[in-house]
Parts: sequence; structure tokens; C-alpha cells
Amino acid sequence: MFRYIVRRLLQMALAFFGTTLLVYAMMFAAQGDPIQALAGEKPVSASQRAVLTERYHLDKTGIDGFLYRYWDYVSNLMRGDFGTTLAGRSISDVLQAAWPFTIKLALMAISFVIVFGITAGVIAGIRRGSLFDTTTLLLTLVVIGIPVFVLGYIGQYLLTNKWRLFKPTANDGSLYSLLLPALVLGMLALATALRLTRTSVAENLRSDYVRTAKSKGLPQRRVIGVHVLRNSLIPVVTYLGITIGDLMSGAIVTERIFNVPGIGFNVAKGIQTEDGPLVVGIISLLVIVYLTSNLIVDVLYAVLDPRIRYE
Amino acid sequence: MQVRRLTALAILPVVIAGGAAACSGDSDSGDSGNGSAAVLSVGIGEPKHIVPANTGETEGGQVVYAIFAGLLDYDKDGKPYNVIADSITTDDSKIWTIKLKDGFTFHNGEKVTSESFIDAWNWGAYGPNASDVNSYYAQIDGYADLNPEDATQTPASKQLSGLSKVDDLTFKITLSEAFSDFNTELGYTAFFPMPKAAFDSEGNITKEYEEAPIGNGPFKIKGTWNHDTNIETERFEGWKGTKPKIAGLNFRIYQDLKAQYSDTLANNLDINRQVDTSNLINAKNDFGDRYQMSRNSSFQFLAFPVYDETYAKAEVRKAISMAIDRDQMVKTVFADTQESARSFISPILPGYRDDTCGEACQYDPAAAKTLYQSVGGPATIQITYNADGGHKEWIEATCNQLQANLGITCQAQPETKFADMLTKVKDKTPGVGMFRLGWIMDYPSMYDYLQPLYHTNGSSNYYGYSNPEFDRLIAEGAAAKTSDEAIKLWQQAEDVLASDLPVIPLRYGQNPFVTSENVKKADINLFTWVDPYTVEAA
Repeated sequence: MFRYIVRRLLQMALAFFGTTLLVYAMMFAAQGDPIQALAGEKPVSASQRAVLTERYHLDKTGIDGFLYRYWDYVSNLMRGDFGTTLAGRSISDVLQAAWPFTIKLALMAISFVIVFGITAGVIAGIRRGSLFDTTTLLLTLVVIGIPVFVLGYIGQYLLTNKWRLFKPTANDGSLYSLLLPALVLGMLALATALRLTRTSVAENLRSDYVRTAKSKGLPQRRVIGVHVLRNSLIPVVTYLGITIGDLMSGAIVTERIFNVPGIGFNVAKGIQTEDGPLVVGIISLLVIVYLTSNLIVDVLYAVLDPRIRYE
Repeated sequence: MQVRRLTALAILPVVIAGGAAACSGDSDSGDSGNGSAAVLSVGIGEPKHIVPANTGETEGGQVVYAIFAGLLDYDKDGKPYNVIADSITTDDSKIWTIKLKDGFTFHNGEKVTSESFIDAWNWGAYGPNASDVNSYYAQIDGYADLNPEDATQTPASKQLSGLSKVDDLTFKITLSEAFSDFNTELGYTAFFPMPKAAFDSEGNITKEYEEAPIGNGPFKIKGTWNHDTNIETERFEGWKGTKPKIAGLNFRIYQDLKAQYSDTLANNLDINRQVDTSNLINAKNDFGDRYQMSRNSSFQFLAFPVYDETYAKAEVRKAISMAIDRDQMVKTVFADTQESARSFISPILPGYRDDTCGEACQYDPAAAKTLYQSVGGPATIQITYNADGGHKEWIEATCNQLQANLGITCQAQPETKFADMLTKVKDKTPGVGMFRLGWIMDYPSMYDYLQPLYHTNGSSNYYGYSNPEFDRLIAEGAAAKTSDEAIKLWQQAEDVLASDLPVIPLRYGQNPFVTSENVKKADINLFTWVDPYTVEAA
């Protein structure tokens, strides 16, 4: 196990450099003249240009310049210096202010998924073919089929403007105002987790060890609660792990619709304003979040299922 | 923070500076006389900066406009009137003498003096400070010393030689070249004052000041700027100008205009300064009387590459212009949120006249076709537009009108980004054809439209238009002794445009905005800012 973790950590370092290089290259390629873009269409004086060029490390161009700047960026990153946004704000400050919103939102969303998704999935799995099963099947199909921005705007319109149940936006960060965005954000994961649990439960119910358990007279509660559930949850846990990474990385669309000033909100802003340093800074951090959550899931796998061994 | 003078977007954030309309200030929640205790919230995007000498975009400008006050302000017709200034005088349009009213102070008690202005402008003009409004100070004498051509050089001076203090309440501005409408620039936020407290010992603006500027305006900042969340202000009781009618403004920060709209509908936000395009059709229904329009300086037009043989004849351009039905376009594509344009400058400007474009802008498809054929106009034309600004619909509609009315083929060509389109045009890439542009003003003067857009050396003259007669009139107007004289000359220059037709005027912008049930009155000024002096709570 230890050797496995070390190997994974080394792979993570590679993946980290690879992804940041890619993202950096893409932002680099997309940029026209960032200094002129900053100034709108107004004239930029030579000395003003010189200062900005230096401030944002734009002083070298071409492939050499790119590698030089990437290296410059990464070495600063290693020292914990994320740099500043094109608006002159420290990116560490931006991240510090944004994380609490995103974490709150992600935790709320994942709670929805666990509480409603898994429960409904288990019920649907046990009562295959029942009305409940068919209804959830249909509903989840609909949810999976609708893009999140449609869900978001419809939810916002119906639940806040029509029926006034929730607040339309959430930039005060209160739990109540985050309720609706969390629901929208968790909806897709909820539907997927539900389907996954249902299939898994249904499959395990037919397996030999369940028949054995039943035939030796174990109560239904114990058969489902211990034997079926434990085995059925393995794929679901994997899925949830990845989803947490997803949710932590901020929901660009949801945070934008509900004006939640979290990570996704800032990524969207960075992309919109062509703020390379902000986008690359956030994405570097997200890469780490993703890699770590994936590692944790893989390790958990072995804990849940004794048949899996990492050597 | 994405506002540019050359406007990439079809609909711009804008506002009305309402004149001081007589308001019965008896809002039910207020302590009578001194304005109510109500705090209203205003939606903005995350500003880049909120200090005057560094703020060049509308979102930050809105905040600066509430917490600072300048020498002058503009009424709803774009005419300047004095605020902090007692008088602004000049004999030759080159040396301007500014006298300040006594008694104005900053929120920390510091007096507003000549130095408050001089220090702020010097900071903004100093190249290495890389201020967003650096170019606004370029007309002041000595600017070149602060912004050397050779960027490796340290500027020779940190002070504009054109600014000199006479006494605490008087200072002189010397321009490098006479400019008769210079005073109209002084109401822009870049020319607002800053206190000594803003600068550290080396003359840099301090970090603390950036986060919580001490202004001299009707509202003062409460706490600090909560990035991405809000900026709260409260009424400054020491303010000597027009008293605001509310106790505070809470600038709430949004990224998406749609979210502002939803929040306003739920009375969760009080003023949405600009309704997003997708909600324009619902706004009337959702808000009734609380959906309003304010005037806006934007001017949308189609430009011809006059360097291109195909469009070199003025008659070809005229025929194309006559074949476009502006009124129908405004109605069907823009749901009356814009107005047809038949002059070359915005109607909010002093000096504006109706219909200067004359016959060329009157819709007459039959005459257009005859003219077009008699001068041998091209059988295929292109219109290029930027796809990032919501222009597809009206460009295609224009193309359809041209096809139907002139019997030619018209191709609408999108460019991914506005900057890409400008690059192509600057490089004179063949096949660009006509292209769309828009303009919003920096300050309400005809000069700010005519010079940059049509002068041979104009900063945004992308179409290569050059007429010595026009250039002469512009220069003479700038050197005139008074604003009125200047306007006369510039109007003559506008008439030259009408016969040359380097561009065809299409539409003037308006700014649709909505307010919540908590608002009794809100005015949006020419810069799309909520007027902090006239806004009232219900």
C-alpha cells in the first residue's frame, strides 16, 4: 500500500506539471495584446506599457518566451506565490475569499446527493419495477438530459420569482440563500448516484451470497443493511469521490447564475476578462484538489473491498 | 469591467444624470428634512479600481461617482455645471484657471484644496504608475516628460509642468495645445481630487486607500471593499453640495446581469442599471412602470473601408445607406430599446442637430437602387462583425434588406472577437468589406466623437477616412476661444461628413433599467451611473 501511494504521488507531480503547462499554453495562445485589452481602446503610453509588461511577465515572446514565463510562473507557484490578477489583486486573496463559498456549496450539494440520491436508489433497487422505481427512473432521465444552466434559470425563475420560496442570488453566503444553488448543483450528481445505487443494489440482490444469507434465515434488514449495501456502495463511493472533486472545483455555471462569489465565479470572470494569471492560478490549485480526491477514493476502495489489493 | 470606448457590445451599460428634479422628499421611512434613513442597493460588476486617478471602467466609476465629487458635473443634456469649482475660466483655451469653492472637505476632515487635484492628476499621469486613465491627462502640458517615448528611461519628472498652484483654492492648468472644450472633460471621474491621506511617503497610493478610499462626495465608504460581494456606503453628513435623499447606497457585486434582474424582481436588489438582452421582452410585463429607459451616449454605425476601390465612391455608400430601413430594424430587432440615428454624433451632446445626414439616411429603396446601379456598385458586398457582442441578428437583417432593396448579394461575416476584427481592419485585409463599430463618449463634447472617429489621425479611424477640410475645421474648433464658437466649427465639420459619408449612422443607444418596489425615483446618467443625488426610496 505504501509503495502504491508513493507511486501515485509521483504520478501526481507529473500530472500537475502537464496540466498546468497545458492550461498555461492555452491561455497564452488565446491572449492577443493583454495590455491593450486592459486599457480598453484607449492609448497606452510607452512607459505605462513597459511597467505592465514587466508586472505580468510578458517581456519575452515566442517559444523561448513561453517556456521562460512558464518556468517563472511555476517557480513562483512553488514558493506559494500565485501572482496577481490583471486587476492588481493578489490571487491568494481571491482564493481565500472564494473557497469558503465553494466549500459550503459543495458540502450542501453532496449532502443532498447522499441523503436523497442513495436512499431513493436503494428503495428503487429493492422495489424494482414498482411505481416508485419507474417514476424515479423517468425523473432522473429528465434531469440528466437537461443542461445545468436550464435547470438553474428555471429553478431561479420558478422558485424565487414566481413562488418566492428562496432568494434568487447568494452572495451573502448564508445557508438559506445557498439552498437553491446547492440543489441545482447537486441535481445531476443526485440523479447519477441514484441510478448507480439502484443498479448496483438490484444486481447484488440476485447474487449468491444474498441468497445464502436469506436462506439461512437472516432478517431482511440485515441482509440489505449489511450484505447488499456494503457491496453495492463501492461504485457509488468512487463516483462520489470524483464528484466531490468536481464540486470543489466550483460550478462555473451555477455560481454564475446564482451570483455565488466562489471558485467557479472567479474562473468564469477570469475567462471572460482574459485574465490569464487568475485562470491559471485557480486551475493549478484545482488540479491538486482533483488529484488528491482521486487518490483518496482509490485508497478507500481497498478499504471497502478486501478483494482489492494495491501492490 | 469590460467597457471600452469602441463598443464591442450591442447594448451597453449606461445611465442618466437626471437634472435636479424637484422631489417631494417625504418618503415614509425617513427622518424628514435631511433625507430618509433608507439604504438602497445598486447592482455593479466587480470594479477594477475605485480610486479616481486609476478608474477607467463604468463599474468602478459608479462607486467613484458616489463617494467623490469633481469640479463639475453634467446635466441631462450633457451641459457641464460647477460642483466643487467656483469658476473655470480661460482667455485663450490654453491656460485654464480653476477657482474652488471653500468649505468642501474629504471624509476624514481634510480640506479639498488645489493640491488635492494636482496630486491626484500627477499620480495618474505618471507613466510608471500605469494608471487606467493615464491617457486622459495627455493634453496637459508636461505629459510627455512623465511618459517618455523610450520606455527604458525613468521619466524626467513626477509632476505635470502644466499644473500650478496659485493658492489653496486656485490653480492653473496649461494645455500643450489649446482646446476650447477642455472644461467638459473635467467632470469625468479621472479628474476628481484625492486627499493627502491617499499617498504614502513615496507618493504611491496606499493599499489601504485602494480598499477603502476616502472621498469628498455625498457618500462615504463603510468598512472596506468586500471583493466580489459588495461595497457599502453611508451618507456623509459633512457634504456641502446637493443633499442625497437616502441614508446610504449598497453597491452589490454581480457577475451576471441576469442575476441582477432576478434579484430586482424579488426586491432583493433595488436598482439593476442595465437589463440584459434576454430579459428585454419580459421587462415591461414584469416591472410595468418600474422598467425605464435612460439616455446613453452610444452611437452604432457601419463603416466603409474607404481605402478599398469597391467602396471608394461616395455615391455607392450613399445608396447603401438609403437602402437600410433603420426604423424597422429598431422596432423588430431591438424592441424599441434603441433609436434610429440620422446624425454623426450622439443626441445627448451640446451641438447635436437632427438629420445632419440628410437624404442619405432617409429610407428610399427605389432611389437607392437606381443610384446604386448608375454608379456601378459592387454585385457582392460583405459586412463583418464581432460575434462576441450580440450583433448577429441585426447584421443579418441589414444584409437581408440590402439584398432585397439593391438586388445584390450580401454576406454577413462574423469574427470571433472584437479585437480580431480590428486587427483585420487595421491590416486592411481584403474581403472584410463593411464593418460595424460603436462608440461611447469619454466626455460630452462633439470633439470626442468627431476627432477620434473621423480625423485623419483619429485613434479609432479604422477606415482610412481623410479629408483636409474636415481636419482643418476640427483643429480650428479646438483652438476656438469659446465653446460656442467651437461648436459652430464642428457642426460645419459634421456637414462635411454628411457629403463624404465615410460611415453610415444607424442607431443611438438607450439604457433600459429596472428598479425594485423600494425605489421611488432613480435616474441613470449619461455614463450609466445611478445619480446618487436624486435617487429616492419609496
